[in-house]
Amino acid sequence: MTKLFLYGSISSPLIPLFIMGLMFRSFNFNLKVLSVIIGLSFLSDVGSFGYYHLTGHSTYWIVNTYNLLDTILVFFFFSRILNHRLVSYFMLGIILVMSGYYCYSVGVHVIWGEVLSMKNILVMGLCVLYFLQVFQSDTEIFLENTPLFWIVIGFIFYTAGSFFLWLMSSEIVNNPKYSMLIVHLGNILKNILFALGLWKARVVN
Amino acid sequence: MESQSSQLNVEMVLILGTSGMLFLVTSIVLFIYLYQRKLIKKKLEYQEIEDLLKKQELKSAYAMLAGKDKAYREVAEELHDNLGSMLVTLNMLSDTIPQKTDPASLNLIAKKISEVATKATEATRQISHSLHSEALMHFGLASAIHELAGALNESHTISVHVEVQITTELEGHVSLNLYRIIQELVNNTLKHAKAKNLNIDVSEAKGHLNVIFEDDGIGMVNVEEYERGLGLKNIKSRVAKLEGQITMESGLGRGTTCIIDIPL
Repeated sequence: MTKLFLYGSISSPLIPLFIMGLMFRSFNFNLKVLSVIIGLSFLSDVGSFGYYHLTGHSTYWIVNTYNLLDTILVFFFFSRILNHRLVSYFMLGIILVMSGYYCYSVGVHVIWGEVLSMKNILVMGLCVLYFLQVFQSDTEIFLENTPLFWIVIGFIFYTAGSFFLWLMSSEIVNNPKYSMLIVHLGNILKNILFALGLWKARVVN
Repeated sequence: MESQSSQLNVEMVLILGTSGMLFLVTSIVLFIYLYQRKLIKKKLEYQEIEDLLKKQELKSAYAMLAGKDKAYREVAEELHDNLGSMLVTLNMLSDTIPQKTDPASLNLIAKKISEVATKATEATRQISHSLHSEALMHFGLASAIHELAGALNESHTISVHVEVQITTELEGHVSLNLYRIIQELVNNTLKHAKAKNLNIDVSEAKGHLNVIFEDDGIGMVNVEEYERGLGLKNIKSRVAKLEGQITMESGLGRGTTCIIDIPL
């Protein structure tokens, strides 16, 4: 069961990547950034999985590196879709400073749970900011028809779902049992929602 | 044992916390989505109402323009067909004068010219009247009928009694058509009935407008035959336009009564 979710989570980015492959050229810059985020997630999952099975060593350094790159891309993505892009850059700054501190103090072979929790909280804040922005705009469009709506929902669900896991990662890291299921489920849901968003973008185009 | 219990607590907190977080996020997203949908629906409804009002305004404007256009066309036709032909006849008659030498023929032509000129004057008056029913336009149907009756009474050929009791403000086309109907009925009475007295009663009851038009003229033997005449055809057409009904009663020596019922 756990393995099923693990493989499901690893392979779930393939759905949005497949849609992306069909029409990458027609995407706007924001969607291209999102495609890179999904691609990076896939590479990181496959890389961690392969590295662990090949060497048997800890993959936390891969997780930390991936999360650092992912953070930069995600906050950059939000800076593109939000009117107040400085908020996004400011939040990115916070995470980078925290990451730097953790890298210096505990190193890359320990998972940076607090940094990831903070990142999740801030991304959730950006998602709410996006909804507020849509709410205040005068354009009369049905949200479900816009690609960004599904993409932002994907972000908010994933970050909300994995927030507690990263927060308590130091407690459960030695014996995760079913806890990782939540992350896998969140990742699958996130990628399905991203795929839906990209599909909507295809319909719009 | 203690370690296992601690692990269980951590997992419990994790699952409960995550569930709570997801529930919160779902609620926020659902709220935003539903509220946005509601707002858009409201906006669309307002838009529809505004569009409808605009359409209605346009419709009214078009109707007004169409009405004016129709009136101008009718006047143009009247000028061309009626007055124009009379003027041509006058021209022809005046051209024949130099060719006539005997007084009898000249008298005959002069008489004809006079007749045609009288008709032309009457036609001009009618056209002018159709363009300007000023009394009707400015003071309403009641005043217009009273003015018509006043003019007839002044001629001393017939005594006209008018009773108008209308409380509802009539629409322009209803007033105009009703006035034209009464004008036509008066014309018929003057031309054919040889009546001494004429009663025109216009009243309003239960959302209907009733017109009772009665004269004490010679009457008619066969109403149906009279109904086929051109004058009454116009009256009937106007009554039909107002979705009303017309009834005529007459008998030899008993005068003629015309009752018109128009829904308001």
